[in-house]
Amino acid sequence: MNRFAGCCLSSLLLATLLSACGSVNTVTTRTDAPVDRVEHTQVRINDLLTDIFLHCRGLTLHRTSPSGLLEAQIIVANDGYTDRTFGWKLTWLNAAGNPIRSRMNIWEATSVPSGGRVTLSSLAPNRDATDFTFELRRSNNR
Amino acid sequence: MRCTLCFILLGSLASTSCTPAHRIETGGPESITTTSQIDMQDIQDASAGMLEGLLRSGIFQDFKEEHGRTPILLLKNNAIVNDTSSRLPMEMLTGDIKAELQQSQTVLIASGYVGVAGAAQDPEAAANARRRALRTPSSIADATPDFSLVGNITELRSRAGSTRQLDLQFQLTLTQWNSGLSPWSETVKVSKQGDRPAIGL
Repeated sequence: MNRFAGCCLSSLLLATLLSACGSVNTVTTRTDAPVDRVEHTQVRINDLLTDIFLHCRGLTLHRTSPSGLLEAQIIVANDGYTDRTFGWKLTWLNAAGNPIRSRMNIWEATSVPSGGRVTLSSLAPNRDATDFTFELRRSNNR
Repeated sequence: MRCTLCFILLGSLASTSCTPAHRIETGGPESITTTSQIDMQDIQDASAGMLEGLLRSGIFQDFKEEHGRTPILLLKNNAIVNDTSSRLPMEMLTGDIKAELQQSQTVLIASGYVGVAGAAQDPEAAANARRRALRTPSSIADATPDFSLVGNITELRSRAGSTRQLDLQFQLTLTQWNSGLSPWSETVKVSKQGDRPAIGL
């Protein structure tokens, strides 16, 4: 019985090690939160499985120069054991909270390796943009 | 009885395997992705990436501050050369770029400009401009473009076993007419991989 339990434990450890082989170790030198960090932003993740493995690690909103347009940057981390491809879309809102119709608001596909992180960025289509909503969903194919 | 059951089963299987035609979000997560040709998501990715780069550069805003007027841009539908094996109506790419630039209110599009090429985007508008210029030369504003955009699309295909990969590059270059120099250029790369077409991003 003890031998059987030992085999099971070894197999489990081996499987865990093998599944973690493709992961990426990520380190960052930033110790303080960015000064222009947005605190009150609603993040809507519409897939439970994605919610488990993909996490939003940071949001920044700043005004670019010389265009004067706002730019949003979102750091997404993959805490799972496999590479993940996901779709994301950022919709800019005006001061009244209404979405700004733009051809730049499209679904984009991005891959992030296991243990890695990716910075997504989007530029506001015009100066009316003051806020945004961000949508993320798992890719159908991976 | 068995035959009836078989027919019902086959009928239900046939009905579930078909996908009736329905409308989807253009370029959305339900679109078909294929490695054999350029698809709608590629066009949207390219136009969005180029627009973002162009607006980020602030070139048109700088021109407006310097000259006190909105710059005029020439972007013809055939200004982007398709150097791929996919047949692509170029208006699908240039139309989005034009419309978004106009709506951003940073630039005016020269649709009636003829130039040495002799073909205006809007022939009626060009004819009207010529007629007005002949009647009262001083009454119309100069519609000569300040900038023009040209570009190209190139592809690279590769294969590993049954897996195919299609790498696309969309390039756009802005030229300022009074200097003949290019203050901005952008490339957007799109890569797709798979062994068969699929629905999804």
